[in-house]
Amino acid sequence: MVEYQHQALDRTLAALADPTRRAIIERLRHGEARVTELAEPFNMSLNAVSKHLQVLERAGLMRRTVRGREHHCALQGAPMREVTAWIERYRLFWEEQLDSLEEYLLRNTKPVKKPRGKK
Amino acid sequence: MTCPSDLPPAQVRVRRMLPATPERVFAAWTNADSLKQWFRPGLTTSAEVELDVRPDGRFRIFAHSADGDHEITGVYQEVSPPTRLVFTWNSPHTRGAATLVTVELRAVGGQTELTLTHERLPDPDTAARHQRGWDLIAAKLEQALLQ
Repeated sequence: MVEYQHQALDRTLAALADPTRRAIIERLRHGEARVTELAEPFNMSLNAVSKHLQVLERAGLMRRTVRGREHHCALQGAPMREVTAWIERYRLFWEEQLDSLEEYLLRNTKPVKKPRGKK
Repeated sequence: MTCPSDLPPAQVRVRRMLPATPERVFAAWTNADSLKQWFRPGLTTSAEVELDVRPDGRFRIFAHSADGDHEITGVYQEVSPPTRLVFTWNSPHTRGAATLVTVELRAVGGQTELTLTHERLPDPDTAARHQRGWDLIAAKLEQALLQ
């Protein structure tokens, strides 16, 4: 179960490692879009864009619905939240150290002596 | 078209206004006695700190903690008092990954704006295995906030 979660996170991060795919996600944040609409801003074939969309779909970042002849794409938030949670742990670690540094500086209001150099 | 298999360079950035001059904040990072007093990874009870603050100089922080001992080591890449300190960072959480920490200090009035960037973070698989440690850090933070 845990291993599966790690694999899912790896897929999400790999999917996000490409600027075109990040641009597609940015576009989808404003709402659902057709594949042709998503392809428009990029100087690449519809086929090439389709490959990017497949990567996003496999990572669970995007869901595709076929209506008639049109493919509609929508963003899926869950994997993004997992990535955020992972990075959040590092952020929390440093936030805590800086809390501690701030307290230290407040405790020691008189100037700190120059570093004694090599210890 | 390439389909990159490598992971993106993950990073975190934390910014904080501190009630001291950049010189004092820089000293808090680079003086072993000072660093020992505020740098508390995990549930640290005491710490040994050795700093050789110069480019290519090494540092070692050994923290005794309720959740086990944490050893953090690294090499200073850039030492520019009082504005910039760059060092590599190896901890049990990064497991050998060459992560990089940049501390930038900027004088704002009589205070200092500190911007810390931790980049080249290891894959989440590694991070997730050490989630327990981070959960303890979160618990400690919560305790501190409740006091």
